[in-house]
This record gives sequence, structure tokens and C-alpha cells, in this order.
Amino acid sequence: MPETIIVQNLKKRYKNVQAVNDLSFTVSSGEIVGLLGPNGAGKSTTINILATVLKPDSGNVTIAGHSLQNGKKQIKKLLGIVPQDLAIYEEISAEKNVRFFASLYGSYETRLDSQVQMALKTVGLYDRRKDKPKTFSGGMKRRLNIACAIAHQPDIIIMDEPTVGIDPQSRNHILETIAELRKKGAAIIYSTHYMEEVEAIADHVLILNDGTVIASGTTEEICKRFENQVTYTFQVSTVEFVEESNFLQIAGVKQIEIKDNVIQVVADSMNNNLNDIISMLISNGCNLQSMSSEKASLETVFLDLTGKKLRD
Amino acid sequence: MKTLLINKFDRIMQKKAIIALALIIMPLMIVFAIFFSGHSAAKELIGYLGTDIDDLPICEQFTVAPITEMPKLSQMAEGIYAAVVSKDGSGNYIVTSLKSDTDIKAIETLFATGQLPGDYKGDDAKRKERGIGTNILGFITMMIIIQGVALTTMYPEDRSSGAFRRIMSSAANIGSYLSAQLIFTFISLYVPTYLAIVLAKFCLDAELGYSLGMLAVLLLIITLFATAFAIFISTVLERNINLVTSGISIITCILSGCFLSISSDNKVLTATSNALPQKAYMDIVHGIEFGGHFSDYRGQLIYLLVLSLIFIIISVSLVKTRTAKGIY
Amino acid sequence: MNFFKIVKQDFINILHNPALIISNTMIPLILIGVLGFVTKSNFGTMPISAYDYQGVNMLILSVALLVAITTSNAFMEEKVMRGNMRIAYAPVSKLEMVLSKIVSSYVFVSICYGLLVPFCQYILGLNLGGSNFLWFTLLLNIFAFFGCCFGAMFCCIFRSEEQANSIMQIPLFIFIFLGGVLFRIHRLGNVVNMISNISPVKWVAGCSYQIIYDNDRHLLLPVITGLAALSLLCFLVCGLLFKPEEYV
Repeated sequence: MPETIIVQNLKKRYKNVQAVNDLSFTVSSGEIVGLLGPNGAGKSTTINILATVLKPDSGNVTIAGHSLQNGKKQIKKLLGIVPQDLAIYEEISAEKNVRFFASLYGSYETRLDSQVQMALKTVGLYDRRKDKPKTFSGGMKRRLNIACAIAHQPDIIIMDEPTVGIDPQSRNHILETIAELRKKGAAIIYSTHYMEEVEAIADHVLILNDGTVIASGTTEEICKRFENQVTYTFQVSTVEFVEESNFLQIAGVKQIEIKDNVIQVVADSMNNNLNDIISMLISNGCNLQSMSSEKASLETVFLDLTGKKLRD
Repeated sequence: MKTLLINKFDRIMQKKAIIALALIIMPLMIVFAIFFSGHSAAKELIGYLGTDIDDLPICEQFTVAPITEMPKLSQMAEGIYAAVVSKDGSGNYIVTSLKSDTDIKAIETLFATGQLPGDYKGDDAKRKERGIGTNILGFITMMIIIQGVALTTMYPEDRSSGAFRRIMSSAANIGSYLSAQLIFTFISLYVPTYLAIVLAKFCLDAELGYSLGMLAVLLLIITLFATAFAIFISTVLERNINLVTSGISIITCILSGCFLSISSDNKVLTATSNALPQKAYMDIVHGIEFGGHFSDYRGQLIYLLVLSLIFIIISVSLVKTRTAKGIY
Repeated sequence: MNFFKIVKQDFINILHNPALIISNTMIPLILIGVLGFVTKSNFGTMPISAYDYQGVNMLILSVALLVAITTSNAFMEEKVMRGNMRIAYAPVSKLEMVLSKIVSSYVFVSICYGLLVPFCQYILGLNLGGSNFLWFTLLLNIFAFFGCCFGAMFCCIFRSEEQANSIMQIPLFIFIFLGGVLFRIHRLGNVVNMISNISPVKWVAGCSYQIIYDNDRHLLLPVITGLAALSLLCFLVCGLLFKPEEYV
């Protein structure tokens, strides 16, 4: 598939903070790239650079063959942006909102009607097209926000957390919509905090941290790095006599977390150390009540890579 | 409520533009207003067109000066000349002026007899009659009403950002929130305004028409009203609050005589003017300046107090209803 | 082409704001009525009545005070700001974004005052220059354009409608005070008279009186040029300070 977006060595600094630090990735037509990262990782900065509203300090960005430095106007015509904040006019109808924003991308008047209709049908708002967004629920406003971005049938769609604060039905509809857009050949960058969304639709995942890509690949490829990692969760009678250091001495045990009467142990399953862990629990005075195990998921990988420390 | 009040002060410190307005620009404007109120303007100018009078009349209210050509009507509209006097062939004085017939007749008499009619009062005399203090407080009234709404900005902001909903779901209730907002607006209005007046008094040696103590009380009354009005208008309106308040403030202040005394035979206008709270306030300040007591203006005081209370009650009631409906 | 689409949308947004419509139509008339009535005893009936005089002054005051607020509202009022800033993602330059707000509010106020002046002249019977009322209308129109640029400039400086309106009222009231349209300041001394020359309101008022009362238009071109220059300056400031990336 042709590479539609090529980002090479992108850098952007805000005062003391290196928001984007030597970032490189590509997005192809008909591909959804999920952009994951904790707050402050550089996702929104990257999106705003690609959207041409922010100037990078250095690096090359080529979108559909146009360079960001010289081809801003051409790039903008190809883009559809779904901003994180709702960017719609509350006082005019949904249809007029979509029509107005679509018309700015050079859509011919003759095609505009059908494009607007298609966009509203895609997001499931066609029946409410004459109504004003101020009467909409949060989920409907989010869907309208998307319709305004896709009506002009852009080749490239960038979505910045499009499902924040909406109900599961609306979210499901949005994800189905995005999958449809991919089928039509759009290159999509999808930024989100919700792992399950990325797992559901993304062909390729980029995990950002401190402005750089720290993991990249399909969900399976990223999780494969941690395929031997397993998390054991033990419900015990008491943790009064538990010494964490004892568990960390067991071969293959990477991490232990104790909360109330629940002990979570992250270990390497290749070491076959479950028996040793259970023995240690018993010898530490814990009466084992129940147990479960879980292989590495995208969320556990994400937390492992980015750390559990709270971000700004 | 204390927490809410501290929160308001903390937050306003981040709004540097509003701070500059409240603490620097507004007080400066008040100082200038006091300065200009106290300093007498030059007398109105009457031009005499002709060389056939040796001694032009002299009087307290006008300056008469010889001119060689008829001023343009635009110059008279600008107020450069209050009137132009000339003599016709029969020796009668012809007065050309934009002023009223009373003023024209008075000027004719001035030239004919060398003196203005005994009971004549020009614009300046009428303004002086109003009193310096009344003029100053009239101007301050308009500024305080506009500024009050600007300082209540965090209240509509809280509603639109969702912070208000959050506060309502806490131990704080509507009463404590609005009380904090009232106290905040009142302090932010009263303190800089009074300090500006004190500054003008001591730095410019300005004549205020009242003692500082009396001014403190009079300012308290109008600030209380302006605060209640600010809360009310910020509750009722969702958008364009500043724009609407500026319009209402200017029109009602003019109608109530904040800048010029109003006397009219028109019953509708008189009734409208009398209904305005600013009119009640201007009656009080004018009366006090000329030796009256607060007890003479019980009606006006009660009216102002009751209206302020009504504004607050309506505000609380509206907020309660809207909160219950989930609008906020 | 995009520019005109945005102007049209901004104009529609203004029409959805009743406060702006009422301000730019009713308030000038109310001010004329109120002030005309209040100052009736200070004027004769010929050649200029109180209503004639206040008609001119209040129209100038309304343009001075309300037009700038109209533009700041059209630009960054909470209900339209997010939609307006979304335009930054479209193939539209930042200057077009600012200019569209100025042009849309200018068209709006041009219609309002373009209707108000002949209404006052021919329906209310005020003397706004008789056959010269078109020149007075032109002057107000250019003054309104400056007001639009002024309002946009304050929005670009303060990045919020609320702060822009709060601060903007100060220079506007200073211009109005120095312009002598609320009360005459001519007798306040030479210093004040000298300072008052910085006020565009004074230029417009002085020129208006000459057009209406003296049938003299010699000040029209210099005043229009001065207003155009100030408008350009405001627009340049907008160009320098407006950064769409700070709003997205």
C-alpha cells in the first residue's frame, strides 16, 4: 500500500519541554494507525503538526507527496480533522454545519448535497439533520464532529480522541464508521486512551512517550514482546507477613504489587515459577483463597513501557 | 462559603486584564472624573459680530469676545460658541444660537441691559446647582454597574465549564455559592473605587461635595445595588452579558439623571425615571450633599434595598430551578 | 472562494445572536430618544433641535461603542469560537480567518446603520444632512469598519471575547469622552482639547457636523484616510498576534 504520510525525525519544543523528539513513522492508504501515549507524550502536538496548524522545529513530513513546508494548502485539502474538543456551531442545524465545513475543502456545489447526506448517514445523524446541535446528546455531538471532518471525503483522516465521554452505543457506531472509512481507502490516524478501541480497529499501533515512539507494530507484535509475561492475581487471607523481597528473589518474577488482600505478581512464564510463587505465599502465612492468571494485554504492555507514574 | 470566596480571589488573580481594569483603569477614570468635576470649565463663549460696541458686557456665566466673521453652524454644534450676537439696522440685538428660547432671551437682555436676568441660570450654573458630589457619584454609578458585571465573570464561567454543577453536588449549596460571589463582587467594586476617591481627595486636593465618611456610606449603597444587579443579570442571561449591561446601564443612568438633571412634563418619562433605582439614589446623594439626612430619604433607601433583595431572590430562585432541571 | 463562504457563515452566526441585532438597531434609537428628551430644554428648535443634535452624536457613539463589541462577539464568543477555530484546519489562511470576522460584522453593521440613518432622517424627521445624509452614512460606514478592525484586534491580543470586551471598553469610553459626543469638552482647557485630537470619535464628530450643518465635505477625505490607516494598523496587529494553533 502506498505510504500516504511519511514522518521523519520530527521535533518540536515548547520552552523547556521537548514535546516531540525525533519522531518517525508512516501511514499508508487504507490503514488505521492507533496513536497511544500517556498525557504529554506528544500525540496532540504531532497531530497539530500534521494538520499544518503547528510548525515543527525540524524534521520532514510528506503527506500524499506534498511536503509540509511547501505544500500546506494542498495538504489541508486532503485532510479531515476530528479535533478533541467539539468544534461545531450549536445554533445552526447539523446539516448546515456539515455543509459549511465541507464546502471549505473545495467540494463542488453539485456534489455537496450528496456528500453531506453521505456523511450524516455514515454517522447515523441523517434523521436529525435539521436539528440544532444544542439539542443533541454528547454522543450525537461527537458524531456530528466526525461528520464535519469526513463529508468532503478526505484521503487522510486524523482523529484526536473522538470518543471521549460518550455512551457505548455511540462509540461502537463511531468505530464501525472508521472501519468503513478504512475500507474506502482513507489513511487514518486515531489517537486515543482506550486500549480496547485500538485493539479493535488499528492495523498498526504507535506507543509514544516523551515525544518518541517506544513501541510500534500491530497489537499482536507489540504484545508478543511480552508474550511470556503473565500476571498472577492471588486472593489471600492476610498479607501481614508478606515480604516483597522474598518474591523478587524467585527467578522470573519481575514485579509484585500488594493491595488489601490481593497480591499481583508479574512473572516470566518461561521460568515455570508458579509453584515457587505459591510456596512462597504459603510460607509467608498467606492462606490462598483464589487465583487467576492473565497474559500480557496491550494495556499491561502500555503501562509496562510507559510506567505507572501519574503524568502532567 | 469561605473556601468559595478564597477560590474567587485566587482565580481573579489569573485574569490580569480584569485586575488591571478593576485596580488601575477604573480608579484612574474615577480620579479623572473627580478632577474634571472639580475644575471649572472655561465660561461659555459668546461672539459679538461687529465693532460698534466699545464695552462688551461682562458677566459670570459667559465670556463675550469680538469676532470678525460669523462662525459656522458646526462650530456652534461643537460648542465653541454658545451664541453669536450682532446688531441689525434698527439697533436690535440678534442672537444666533442653538440654545433654548430662554437662553436666547437672557443673552438679548445681557446685551441690552449689561446684565443677565436675575433668575437666569445657564448650563454651568445648573450643573453647579446639582452639586459636585452629585455629578461625581452620578458618573461613578454608571461605571460601577458596568464594572460589577465584569467582575462577576467567574459565575457564568463556572456554569458553562461545569464547575458550578460540581460545586452544587458538594457540601456547598446555591446560597453559599451566590453569597461568596456577592461578597467577592462587592469587595472588588467597593475597595478600589473608594481608594480612588481617597486618592483624588488627598493627591489632587479635590472637592468631593461630601466628607470621606459620608462618601463611604453613599458608595456602599450603590455598590450593594450594583452587586445585586450584576448577580441578577449574570443569572438571567447566558451570553452577551457585558454588551446588554453596558446598554442598560448607559440608558437607565441617563434617564435617571446621573449626568444631567431631568425635569419634564411628560408623565410617562417622569414615571419611568422615578421607577429607576438610579433615580432614587441620585435623589439621596443630591439631598445629602445639600444638607439633608438619610431619614429624609427613607423611601428611596427602602426602594433600593428592596429592589436589591428582589434581584437576589430572583437569582437564587432561578438558579435553584435550573439546577433542579439539570440545565447546569 | 472559501473566504466568502466563511464570511457568509459568520454573518449567519451574527444573525443568530439577537443581542447583536437589538444593540445595533434599537439601542441607537433609544439613546437618541432618551438623550434628545433629556436635553430638550437646552436647545431651541431651529436650526438644530436637541433630537437633531443627539441624533448625530448618538449614532456616532453607537458605532464607536457597539461595533467593536459586535466583531469581538462574532470572532470569539463562546458559542461560535470552537466552530470558528475549526476553520484553521481547512485550506484557509489565518489572515482570511481574521478578515472574514471583520468583513462579516462590517456587512452586518453597514446594513444596520445604513438603514438607521435614512430612518432617522426621513421617518423620524431628524436633520442628518438632508441630501448630504449619504455622506454622513459613508463616514459612519468607514468608522464602523475601523470599529470592526479594533474589535478584532482586541480579540487577537486577549484571545478571549470576555477579556477583550472588558478591556476594550476603556479606550472606547476614552475616545467617546474625548470626542465630545456625550458631553462637550471644548471648555475643559487647551490640554484636553489637544489630547482630544487623538480620538477618532472627535474626527468623525467634527467632520459630521461640517457635512450636516455647513454642507462642507473638506474634512471627509482626511478623516476617511485617517480611519483607513488606523484600520490597517489594527489589521496588521491582528496578523502578527493571531495564531490559530493557540486555539486548537
